[in-house]
Amino acid sequence: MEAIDLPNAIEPTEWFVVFHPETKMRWLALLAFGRFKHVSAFAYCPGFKAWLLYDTQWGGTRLILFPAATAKATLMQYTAGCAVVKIARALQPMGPTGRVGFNCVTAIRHLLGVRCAMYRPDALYRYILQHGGQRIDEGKHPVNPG
Amino acid sequence: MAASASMKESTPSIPVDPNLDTEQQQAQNDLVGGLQTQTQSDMASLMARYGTQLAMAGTTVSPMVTPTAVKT
Repeated sequence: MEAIDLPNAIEPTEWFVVFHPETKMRWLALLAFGRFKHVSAFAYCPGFKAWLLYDTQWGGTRLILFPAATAKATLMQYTAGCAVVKIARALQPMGPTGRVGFNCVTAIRHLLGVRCAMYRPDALYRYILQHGGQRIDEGKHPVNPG
Repeated sequence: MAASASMKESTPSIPVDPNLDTEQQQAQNDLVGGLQTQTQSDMASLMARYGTQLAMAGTTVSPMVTPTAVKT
């Protein structure tokens, strides 16, 4: 895979990772055994006054922009019942395991620069909290999701 | 490599706005405040609805069990 230089531009560096306890696909919920069944992320785009949502679903990857003026209510509704963890992106090359498999967890791992191999949302949740992630939707910071 | 080098040269440099960090911080703080308020509200409504059950969760006494009269 070639490394292509990207234009100099504004790129989100801090992401809010959303761990969803439910999914509409029952077989997917069984596969992702544990508390969380899906993971997505959103970040603020300074200079554009917008929030960017990155969500890799079974039907395809969604990139959605919310204007800052209305994003608060939208994102509060989107994250209701979910665990939200804020973490800075690590700009580091992914290891070989980062290219194995493709699901919502590996997509978020690539986005954040997480090199550790994991394929379930619960494992990613624990890893992020142990590596500087800050749970922002509540005062406590439980590492174990169960 | 040549293509890469020429791309670097032709890439316009976007001036860094010193206000971007402030703008991002304000937006994030606003959202975090909203999410924390939402969580507190959710907990308050949970306690109002299931307060007894939540308070007794983990104890040996279940509020769902109706006490039976003991004949002496």
